[in-house]
Amino acid sequence: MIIETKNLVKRYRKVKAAKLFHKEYRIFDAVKNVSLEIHQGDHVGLVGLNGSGKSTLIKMILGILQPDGGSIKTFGRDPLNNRQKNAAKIGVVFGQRSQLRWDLPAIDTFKLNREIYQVPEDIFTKRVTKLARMLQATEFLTQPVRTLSLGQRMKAEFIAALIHDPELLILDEPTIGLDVLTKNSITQFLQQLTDKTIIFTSHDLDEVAKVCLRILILNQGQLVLDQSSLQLAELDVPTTVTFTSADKLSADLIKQWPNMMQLKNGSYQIAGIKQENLKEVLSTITARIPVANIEVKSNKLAYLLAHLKQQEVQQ
Amino acid sequence: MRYLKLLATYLKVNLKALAVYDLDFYFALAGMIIQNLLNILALRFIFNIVPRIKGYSFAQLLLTYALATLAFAIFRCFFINALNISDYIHDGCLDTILIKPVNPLFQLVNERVDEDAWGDLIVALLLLIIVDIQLHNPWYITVMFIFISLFTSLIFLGLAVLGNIVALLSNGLANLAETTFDFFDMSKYPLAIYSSALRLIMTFILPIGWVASIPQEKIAVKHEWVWLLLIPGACVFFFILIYQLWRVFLQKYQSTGS
Repeated sequence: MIIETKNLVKRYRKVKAAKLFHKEYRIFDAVKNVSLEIHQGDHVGLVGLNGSGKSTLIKMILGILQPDGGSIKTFGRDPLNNRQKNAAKIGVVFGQRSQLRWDLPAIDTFKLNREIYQVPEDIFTKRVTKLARMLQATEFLTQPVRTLSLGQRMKAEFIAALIHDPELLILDEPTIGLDVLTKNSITQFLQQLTDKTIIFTSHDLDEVAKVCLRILILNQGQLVLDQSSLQLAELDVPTTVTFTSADKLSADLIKQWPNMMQLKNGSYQIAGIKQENLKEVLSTITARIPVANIEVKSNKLAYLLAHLKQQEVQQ
Repeated sequence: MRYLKLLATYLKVNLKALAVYDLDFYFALAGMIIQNLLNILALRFIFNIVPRIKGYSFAQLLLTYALATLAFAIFRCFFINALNISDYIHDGCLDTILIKPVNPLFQLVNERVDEDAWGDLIVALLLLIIVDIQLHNPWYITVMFIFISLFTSLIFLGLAVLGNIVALLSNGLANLAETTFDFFDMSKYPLAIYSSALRLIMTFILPIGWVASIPQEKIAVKHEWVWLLLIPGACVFFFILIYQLWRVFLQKYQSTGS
């Protein structure tokens, strides 16, 4: 087992009101009673909205943060007291923070990491060549990092995090701000890392599901869902269809969809369409209305969060 | 051994980063040299009015100046990033350091070097040699001073770390680290010119007297060689104390996350 937590809690003290001589604090639970197990080779997606406690959980796994309750073990030991020992087996990519030297080519940071993680020279060279080929990064590794695009830089960050061939790879929102093409190539790259345990944090459920077989959803510090991504894919999530048309809609069509709304910008929106009705709705729209633009969307994460909350209330 | 190798790699990478600045680097070098010459000129003017200050001649004061500048230049060339600890914490970059299997303070200090300080280093070394010749000090005194400066620079490192920790614990006095520069200014003069209370503080609490004044008095004037051990010992002791404080601070960071 790589990671094991039992009723893990982390509380922050936030300043509620600052007066001249004393401050009032508000205690707030960033992570509440999270129990989970992550095994060797698992690809786990950790999904939640901003402020749901993902980063706090990651930091406790890494031993950067001390838990306020419960227990946590990373590689079978207390991560806080074994931080440096564990660090040799962990690679981390932070989407928001770079570990690359700004003024220098990425390859220089790799060399520094080679020394930090004590990777033998020949293995290092082989590994960098292989990773660079997999990520199509070979040609820009010798350019100063400040001249790279965000996508190129992130690819270099991935290589930097994998120089020491870590058993556990932690990705904290690594695709933030990237274009579709770069996202796809990174997703493909991650799919090939089958021998590694991966924790992939994001607020985009669909993206995580492409890489991870297991999805954890955190909401306001609580672990609200732990399911395989296959099960999630089969989940019937209502779809929203939005379309624009130059013509006015006929009265019987409006009657047919009582929950249709006209948005401020003039386009029409039908929300809450069930999976089995989607095909019919779409064919009706395209057959009867001269559609200028149409968009089909299902926000699984928002739906799940709302749905799971209701369940809790019912319980 | 592992840290020595790592230090060499950091040095290589940092020097490479300096080369990126190319022309800028030489301008900074020239700027620092001019600034030092102006400082010395100002000191010379004072000595045109009075022949001695508290019994110190111009050349002797110049020696304290050179010793302090040398120690501070070593600090700036190699340890300057310690001044930025609070920035690392404010923008969360300390986390990227904590996830590596190497001592965090070691990484922090080695993450960047100062491109401006090399001028100081050259001036301080030249000045030290010239003043020692003027004062008819034998050559080995100069070598001893260079050896001692390697350790006295640790005092500035300690003060920089201390300033940052106090700034972070007191929430927002972010400029406290800059006091390291003020301490440097104070270290340039012999302890004799300060009041007795200040002299005590500068010897036993914030040990800036050890940077230049004490080495000058004990080694150049009195030739008491035991201070060749005592001074480095005091520097290392001070640094170890600060290092313990840093560890306590790191633990607090790990429990609050800020």
